[in-house]
Amino acid sequence: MTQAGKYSEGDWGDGAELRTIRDKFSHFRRLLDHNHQALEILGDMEEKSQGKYLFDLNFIRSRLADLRANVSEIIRCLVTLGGDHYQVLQERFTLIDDQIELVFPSNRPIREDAYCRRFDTLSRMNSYSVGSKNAQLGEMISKLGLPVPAGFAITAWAYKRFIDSNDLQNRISERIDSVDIRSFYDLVRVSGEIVDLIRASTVPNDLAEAILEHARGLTTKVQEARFSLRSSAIGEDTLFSFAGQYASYLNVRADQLVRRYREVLAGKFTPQAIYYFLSHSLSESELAMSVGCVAMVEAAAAGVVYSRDPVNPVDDHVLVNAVWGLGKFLVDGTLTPDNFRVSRRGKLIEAQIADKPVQLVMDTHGGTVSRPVPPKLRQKPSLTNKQLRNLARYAVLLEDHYACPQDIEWVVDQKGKLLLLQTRPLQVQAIQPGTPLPDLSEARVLVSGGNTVCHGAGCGRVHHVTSAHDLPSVPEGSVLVAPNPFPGLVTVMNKVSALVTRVGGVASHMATIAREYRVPTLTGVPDALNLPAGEIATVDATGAVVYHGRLDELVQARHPEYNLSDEESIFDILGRVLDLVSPLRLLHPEDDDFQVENCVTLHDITRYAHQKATEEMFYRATDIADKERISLRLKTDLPVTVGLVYLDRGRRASGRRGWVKEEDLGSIPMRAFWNGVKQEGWPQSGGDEHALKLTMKDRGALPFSENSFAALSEEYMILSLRFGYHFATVEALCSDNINKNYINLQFSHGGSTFDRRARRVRLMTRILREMEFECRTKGDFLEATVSYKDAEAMVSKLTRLGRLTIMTKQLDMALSTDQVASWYLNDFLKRLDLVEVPVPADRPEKGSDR
Amino acid sequence: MKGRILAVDDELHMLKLLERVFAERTQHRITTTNNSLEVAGILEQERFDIIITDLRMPGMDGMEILRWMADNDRDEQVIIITAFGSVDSAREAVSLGAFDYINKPFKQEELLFAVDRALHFAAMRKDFKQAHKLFSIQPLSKATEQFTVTYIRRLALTVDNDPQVVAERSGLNLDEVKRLLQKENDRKL
Repeated sequence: MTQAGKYSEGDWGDGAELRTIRDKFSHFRRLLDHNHQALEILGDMEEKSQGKYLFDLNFIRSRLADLRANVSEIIRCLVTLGGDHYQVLQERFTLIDDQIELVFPSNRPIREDAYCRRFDTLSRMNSYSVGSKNAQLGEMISKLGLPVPAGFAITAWAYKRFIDSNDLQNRISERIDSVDIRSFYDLVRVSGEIVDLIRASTVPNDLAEAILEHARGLTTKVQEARFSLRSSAIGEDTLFSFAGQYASYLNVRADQLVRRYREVLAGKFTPQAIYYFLSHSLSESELAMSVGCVAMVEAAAAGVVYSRDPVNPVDDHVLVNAVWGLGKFLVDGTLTPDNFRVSRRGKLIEAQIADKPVQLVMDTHGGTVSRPVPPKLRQKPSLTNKQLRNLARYAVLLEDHYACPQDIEWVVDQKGKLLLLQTRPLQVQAIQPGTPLPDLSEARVLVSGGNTVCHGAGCGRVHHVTSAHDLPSVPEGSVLVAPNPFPGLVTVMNKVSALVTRVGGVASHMATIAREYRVPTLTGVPDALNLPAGEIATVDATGAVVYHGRLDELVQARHPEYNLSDEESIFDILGRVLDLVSPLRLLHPEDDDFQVENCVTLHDITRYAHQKATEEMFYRATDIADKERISLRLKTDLPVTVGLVYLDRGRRASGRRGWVKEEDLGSIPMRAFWNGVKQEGWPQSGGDEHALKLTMKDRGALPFSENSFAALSEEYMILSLRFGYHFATVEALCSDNINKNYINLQFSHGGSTFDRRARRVRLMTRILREMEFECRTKGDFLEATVSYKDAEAMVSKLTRLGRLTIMTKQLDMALSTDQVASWYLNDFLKRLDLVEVPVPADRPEKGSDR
Repeated sequence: MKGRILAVDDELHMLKLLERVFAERTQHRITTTNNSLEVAGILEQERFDIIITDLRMPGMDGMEILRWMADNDRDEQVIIITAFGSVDSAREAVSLGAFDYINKPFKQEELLFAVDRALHFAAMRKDFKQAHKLFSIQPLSKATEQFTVTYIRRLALTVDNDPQVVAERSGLNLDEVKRLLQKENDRKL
């Protein structure tokens, strides 16, 4: 067989063959090692998910990194052991890993991809390469058939090409490391330096050519065509929202594309963005930039649709904000938009039509320009009922598809056709109903009205700002008042107690950040600028009123309860990661579905690899020479098959016809262990009866055992034991030298629920401790070691271990409660002549353990 | 013992967990912030018994918080939470005055136990400081007077501030007790 070819060369005398076997054995040992580590990590993660521990994202991140490293090594060992056809396991691993990445973005190295990818070749699985924004556009086309402008993504791999070819990584890192995060001026300084660095760099030719070629593919008349470039950061919009932090360019000519691309990359390093990712402990290499390039749509109207009201998600309405022209004036807070409330079936419930004096349109020379809106249109709705109906339909469809509320950007072209530009999860919040409000009849109202952008109430001294230059002087705890929700406000978000703006709707980049930072915020308050500077005021964002003075009771009463996507706890996150990591779908190697393509979790991969490695080690070895010498089997009455390999025997040491009698085992530790197994015998009835019945019932009639294997020498044994659904590895050295002797037991798996498996591990731990083992457990994984005992003691421990292995076979099925477990514990301790634990307990009622 | 706790961590998830644990399992009041730069401001406005802080954070890290506390002569006990495997820096934190450190991830009990010990330690330290102050008062008559005030006040706390009971138990006459308690109130105001 080809996979064994690696080992079939050379002289098949005793020496060469043994070398080969030992060589294989060392890879096998390595694989076992990594397998044990992987299982230990899995056990640890499961344990932490049970709720008794407190942990952070970093814990998940570092455990995942360890797990990935071990799984990679396992696959590498298996490939070395069994040949290149096991590379498919690597592909499977990559596939699962991509899904994990979606659930939990990490700082994986940037993966190789084309420099440019058309949207219609993308789905959300590509977000590691093209960023969430681009990937979702691909998903909308390829999975949902929704109208999206033609376009392509310039990938993270292209970003890496640009950064590497200009040696930018180190130069940027140095500057970011030097920032004093407390100083706005310092952020501005460093931002400027980095932007200059990037502007002074060259986009390499191959990359520039790829961009232009794809641009030509979007249109027949490339000379006249106009494009827009938008950032799509990797990891954006997943666990962290990065709304509006990055630059985008509209109405770009083809000959300006490459230069603008570089500008978008430079725009990643705004003071706000640097502040944001420093204050979130992200490193900038975690945030490679992809850029989306789409054929420019000449917008008649544009805006945002929320599939739910972000501040009142239970009312089931779709919310649409719209302005004339391009959407930028809406999201940057320049204009108060039209505000439509639409039912989920598309019926208009409520419309607040705003006065829209200006609109942003494409300039003939490139770029955009602000133009007055014709007087007759200023106060007209910027959308028709039909368009609103379609928007609502798309929004509901997207919410269903992603199973969470969505925040969608759209545009209507000159012909009235609706196109979607972006979708992403919407952060929603809800207040606890029935919070009693204090009596406010005596309170003096300063101003009222406006849109609740973020619930709650806050009080402090009124402080007015008009532009980013005013921001450094904003005092801690103030009520901040601004003419419009300009993006720079994000830098003071965690200093202020409330925010009020004269212009603005519910949907702007600043609004998203305000909700994230939970700053009570009102926008579109007509008289906001009349608020008296320096006076104490209380902003009731929920009630859309600003009161004079400090109303602490109101602030208390309005304290919001957050829920839905905003309130995803770290346990939910770990749970979603574990779904892709931990459940074991591949149970039995003899099942038809024990196949690489059925590996859906990392646990499956380790299980599969472990099984195949065992087979490679002990079966395939038989292909390289005659079976009689290597494929030895233990001759036993018990219904188990144990393959044997002798590490210290040459040709002569074989048993005839491949069978080794129990009394001829030769290996001291193996004999001791097997004596224990024999002594206990295969369970017929009694203690395990119930467990076996359960097995048959729950799993169908499966054989009780599958192949187990042992590699042996006179004084050494490594035994890989499979009984039912659990497996154990027992390694032992039993010699005259007391300092070398050890037994190491590793134990995991099981067919039943986690708590039952964990109970069995606890039970085994108790018994093993009585036997002087040092035990370490992580979840349902157990490792026990004993060393520095003389040969006689080792033999007696191994015999007990053999008995214990049979006693606990499939016991997890029966351990439905702690009471049952303690009954078994007593029973076992007694039978093993170990100390009895003083827990008086009768055998629990049958059925009480169901 | 009811305590006031300030928790600092750049990860909102961790803060939410802490809020939940303390709300569900203790009487302590907890304030949280995910921006360590706010810590100085919060501490200037309010006193706490315990500060629980992450070690590595953007802005002001755990060590800087400890230094700030030392520079500003603060009494709060600091419990440092460190990521897996940075025990050395945790020890350094203890040498800078941290009460204890806990490795992440940790069991709820571990933290609650540390908080409990820190609260007891803080109470003892307060007693000790008070006694130390008392012993440095001169002359003896003033010290005796101050001792009596403290004695009466503590006794009063255990009997719902009832002067009648305080008088009976202390063996002082009622007017004297009232005078001493009044004096204590004046001092507070």
